Amino acid sequence: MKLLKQFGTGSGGAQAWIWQRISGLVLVVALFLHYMYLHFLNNGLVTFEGVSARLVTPLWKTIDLTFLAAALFHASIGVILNIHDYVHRPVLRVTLVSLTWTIAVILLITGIATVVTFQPV
Amino acid sequence: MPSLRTRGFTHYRWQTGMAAWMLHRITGLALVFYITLHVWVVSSLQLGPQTFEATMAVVSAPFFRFLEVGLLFCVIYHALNGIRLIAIDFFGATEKHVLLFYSLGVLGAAVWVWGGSIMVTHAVHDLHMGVPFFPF
Repeated sequence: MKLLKQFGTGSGGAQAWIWQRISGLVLVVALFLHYMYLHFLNNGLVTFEGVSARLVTPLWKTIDLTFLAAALFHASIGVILNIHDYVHRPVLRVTLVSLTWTIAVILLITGIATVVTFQPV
Repeated sequence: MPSLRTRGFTHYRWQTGMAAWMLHRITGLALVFYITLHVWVVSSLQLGPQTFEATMAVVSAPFFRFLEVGLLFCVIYHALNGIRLIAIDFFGATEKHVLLFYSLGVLGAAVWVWGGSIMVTHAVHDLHMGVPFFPF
C-alpha cells in the first residue's frame, strides 16, 4: 500500500505543475504554426502533396516531433491530474495512471513512426 | 458534509476563477480525446497517398468541419487560459485575474470567429458542391 501511495497523493505535484507550464508554452507556439500552415494559409485543404512538402524537411520533422512529444506529455499530465482529483481507490488509481502512460507511449511511437518513416511519392 | 453526488454542481462557488478552471479542465479533456484520434488519423500517411487522401476526405466532410469549430474553441480557450495561468503563477497577475479572463476572452472570441468562419465557409462550399454532410 505504501508503494501504491507514491503513485498518487504521495507526490506533491510540483514537478507536474512546472512541466505543465513549460510544455504548455511550447504548445502555444507549435499550435500557432500548426494552425496557420494547415488551416489558414493553404486553403484549408490537407493533401498528401502538401504534407510531403513540409515533412521532407528536417526542420518540419523536428517541429512536428517536438509538438507531438510536448502534446502527449502535456495531455498525460493533465489526465493524471484528473485521476488524482477524482479517483481515490489506490489500486484503480494506479491502474488508470499506468494505462494513461501506456496509451501515451503507444501514441508517441505511432506518431514518431509516421513522421520518421514518411516516404514522399 | 453532503457529497458531490448529492449536491451536484451547487457544490461549487460559481465565480470567474472557478468557471475558468472548470472550462480549462473540460476543454483539456476534449483535447485529449481529439489528439488520440488525430495521431491515429494522421498515421494513415504511412499507408500511401490514396489511403491518406481517402481518410482526409472523410475527416474534412462538412460534419467534421463543424466539429472543428468546436475544437478550435477548445484550443483557443485552453491556450489563452493557460497563458493566464502562467501570468498568475509567474508574473504576479493574481489580483488582475478577472480582468485578464475577460480581456483574453475578447481576444479569443475574435480569433474564434475569424478561424471558425473560415471552417464554416469550407463546409458551406462543400455542401453546395454536393458533398454529403455526413461522410459515412
